[in-house]
Amino acid sequence: MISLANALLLGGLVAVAAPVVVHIAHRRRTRTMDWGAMRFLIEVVTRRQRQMSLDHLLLLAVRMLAIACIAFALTRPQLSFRAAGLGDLISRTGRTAAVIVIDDSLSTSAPRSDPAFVTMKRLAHAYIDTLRAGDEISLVALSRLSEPAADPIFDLVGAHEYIDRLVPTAIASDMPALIEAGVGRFSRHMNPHAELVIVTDARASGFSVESSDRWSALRGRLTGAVQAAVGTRSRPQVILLAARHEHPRGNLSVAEVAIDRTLLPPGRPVTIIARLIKDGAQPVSAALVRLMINGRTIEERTLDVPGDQSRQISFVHSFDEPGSHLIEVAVEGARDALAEDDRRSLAVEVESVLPVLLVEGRPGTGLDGSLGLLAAALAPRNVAGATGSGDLFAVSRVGADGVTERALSHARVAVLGDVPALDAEAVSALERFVVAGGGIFIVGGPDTDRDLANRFWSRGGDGFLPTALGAPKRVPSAHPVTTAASHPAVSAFAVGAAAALREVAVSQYLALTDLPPDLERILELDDGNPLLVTRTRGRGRVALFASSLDGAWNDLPYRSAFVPLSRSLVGWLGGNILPPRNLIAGDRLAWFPAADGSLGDVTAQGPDGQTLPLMRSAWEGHPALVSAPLTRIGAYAIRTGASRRPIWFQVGLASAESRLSPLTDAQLEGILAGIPRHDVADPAQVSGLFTIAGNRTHELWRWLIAAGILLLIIETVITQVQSKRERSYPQPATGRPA
Amino acid sequence: MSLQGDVHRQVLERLGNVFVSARQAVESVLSGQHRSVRRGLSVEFAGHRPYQAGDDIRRLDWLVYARSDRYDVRVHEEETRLRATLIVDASGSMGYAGSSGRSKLDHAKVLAAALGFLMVRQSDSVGLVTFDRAVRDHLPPATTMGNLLVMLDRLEALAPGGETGIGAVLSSLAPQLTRRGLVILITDAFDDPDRIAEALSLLRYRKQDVRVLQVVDPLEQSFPFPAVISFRGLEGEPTITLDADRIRGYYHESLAAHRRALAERCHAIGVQLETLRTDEDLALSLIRILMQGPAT
Repeated sequence: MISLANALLLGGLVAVAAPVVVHIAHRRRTRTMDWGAMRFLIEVVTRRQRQMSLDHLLLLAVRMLAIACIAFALTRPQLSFRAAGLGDLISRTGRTAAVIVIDDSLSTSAPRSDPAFVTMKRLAHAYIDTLRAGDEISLVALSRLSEPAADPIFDLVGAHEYIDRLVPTAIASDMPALIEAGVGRFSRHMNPHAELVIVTDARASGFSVESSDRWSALRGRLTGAVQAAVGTRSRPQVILLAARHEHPRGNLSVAEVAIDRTLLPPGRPVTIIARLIKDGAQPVSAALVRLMINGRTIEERTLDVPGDQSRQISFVHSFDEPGSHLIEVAVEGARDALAEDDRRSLAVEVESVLPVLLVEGRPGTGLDGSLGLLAAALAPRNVAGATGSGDLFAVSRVGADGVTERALSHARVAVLGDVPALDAEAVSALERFVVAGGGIFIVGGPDTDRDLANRFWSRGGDGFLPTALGAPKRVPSAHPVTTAASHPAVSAFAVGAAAALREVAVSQYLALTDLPPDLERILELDDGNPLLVTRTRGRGRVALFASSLDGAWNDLPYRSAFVPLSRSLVGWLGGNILPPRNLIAGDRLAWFPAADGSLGDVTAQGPDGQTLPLMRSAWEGHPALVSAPLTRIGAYAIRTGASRRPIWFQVGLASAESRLSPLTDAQLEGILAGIPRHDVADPAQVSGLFTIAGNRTHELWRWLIAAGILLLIIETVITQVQSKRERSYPQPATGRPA
Repeated sequence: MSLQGDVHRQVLERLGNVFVSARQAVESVLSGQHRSVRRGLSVEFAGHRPYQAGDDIRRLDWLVYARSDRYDVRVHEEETRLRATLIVDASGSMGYAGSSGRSKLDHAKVLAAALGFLMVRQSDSVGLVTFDRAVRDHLPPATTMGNLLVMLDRLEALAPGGETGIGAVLSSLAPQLTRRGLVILITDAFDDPDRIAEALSLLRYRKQDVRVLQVVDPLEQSFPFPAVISFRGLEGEPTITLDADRIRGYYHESLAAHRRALAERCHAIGVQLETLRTDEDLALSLIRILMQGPAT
């Protein structure tokens, strides 16, 4: 049978009509002239018409045939003779376009004794060995998806070397994305027989089997045109090279490290919470959990975890010095499948003071004004007029006209308390403030102009107001409840302290309307109306309290919940350290000095102590030093010439990488339903997939090109013969006849 | 400029001022070709000549016979004058004007006018026939200047048109040419050579000294056109679209065959055939024509 490698180029056959079109166009451009000696032309036409027509048709046919040959050759036609009895084996009916996608996520380094990645490499090598010179290869590693591609390659040795250089990286496994990228690479190939080779450790979490929409779309791309034959680029052969390794001891991972405060002041105790997950039935006993601060061990505990359970361990620690610190929790002696997830870090910033700008609709001093009570809650010593303030929050109180770019540049959080209106410059400055990472807390009240706020602060959901304000609503007595107990702003009320919030009585509030889907409700009233909501805007955070904080609409300021709620919320709003220091694999480390903007003498070190190159670039529009995407998990440190203390960053592992449950056949059938595939787990069996010797395939394009060239030569010869014959007739005498 | 002025400028002035010897040659040629009145001044009687078979016996001069026993016949002035008839082809094909913008008919008209001038100046009689498929106009020969002016007027008004019918026209003219004379046919001769020769032989049979002046355009000879051209006939032929480059050889072959056939047939019947190109100097063409002696 004849198959076409580039069937789309079949459209080039319309070029066959070119000689006819040229002929017609040529005739249409003729000019007309009067002629006296018509009898001779008529005689020529009468006598020579048949011969001229034959000559013309012959030339036209030769030219059309030559073009047809060349156009057809571009489609890479192949004449295949398939041998009988090949069964389900893959018959390579021509040169192969091979796209090899490789999952080099960290989970492939499990188990420790016999990493799956070693087997995966052997499988990939075995597959490359089945290819021949002239076959096209694209190698797509998960960790290099973002890098520019220069494929396909024809160098089989180079392909082996590429495989040899690969190592497991911290990039989270995402097989749908990897396979989709591989399918996309076929557009770069020309060879007719297409094979998509998936090299994986076949973990269920890596294949994201729950993402049915993604797999459905991917199946659509893999099946391509229904009428297309399997093995073409629109419907490639799918070969799954899966290193299915057993993990009898299961895996223990440090899934999360967190702290219970939104703001870390020096000298105050903070609870460090480590959540450990055990995957697999085999229990872990007598393991050691170690807490390290800035690389120094602070505390150690023994750990026993039954199979398939999670465990939470808390440590209490107080940081003596402000600045950047690194909290690490490591498990030792677990003897589990994956070593890299036995340790997790958290980079924190200990701050001695958080500057807060209070913008009051009704300015006042002391406890007066729209935010006088909030100021007292945040900075009691300051409000009380004590000298040498030791308050964690440095509060500045201004009126509505005090919202300026300069005032905001010294604040981490701006609180708008029952502000009737702001001028356009103030609104613009607040929007820039929150987009750049600042926090805004909007508090309602009787003076708040809802129409102006909805029009200029909310701007249909694009402004800094989290949601639109509705009409004030008066209720006999409503009590707030926590709806997001894990939120840092209300985490203090999560356990045992929820009753403190229930004591609060709200008599009036602004009904919130047009709630956007990304709005997070923190507190709700009994009637279901939201009382405290938060939202992310740009790099910053915004919060909206639907009632007042001056005691007019509720008695919250006089309740015990007020101080912890206020301080937690404002601390959370201002605790946004930018650029972020807690990263995931694949992110870039970015750092810029805040003071004068100069980048100065900066060095960075990776987890292995190696220097990390930083490039002058930009982060969110600010000049910054930026690294390449980080593929190793662990702690990174930046040191400047001016400071001896490092600034800590950490790259964490996606928790899904710790789940090593294998992909079951049922799951595989589900995600690749309807796609014929060939599964191989043993490198020795890879070569047995293919039947090359049984088939005979002839590439026809060379013959067609040769035929096209031959026809062009024939055309030249015919033209010359005709021209010679036409010139052989006697030329006219230019003067008198003899 | 009028045809008269054109002839004066192109022919007579040049013959008079530039080519004096040529004019003399013309005159001598003309004088030598027939017994002109310039040999004797008698109006009525021009002389005697020996009797030839076929002469009217009533014209024998019995007085001469009585005195010298010779059979002489009297020859009158009228008989010594040349009776020339200029036959001009005005068919559509003569209207072809090549790159010069001057048509073959224009060239033929000047040529006829020049010949008329020269002949009248020698007191020869000149007549004019114009035709296409049939005779359009026939002006009998006369020696008067008035007749010449009429001839010029008619030439001037002559426009090309109609198909060519040389053979039929000459055949119809032959019976009217009862007296010995000179017939000059000015045409492009784009007609069947056999039919032309057949008609010319009729004129020859009528004791006419016949000369054919074939007027051709240089482009008709060289056929230098490139690419595909639609040729529109001037005599009502259908338009033909041809690749000129490809048929040039065939055209030359056909044209040469026609000329060869025409020349052979003219030679066979004693008719002089002269080809004149419209880009040639007319005066030189005239000298060349007139220098040649009679065909027989």
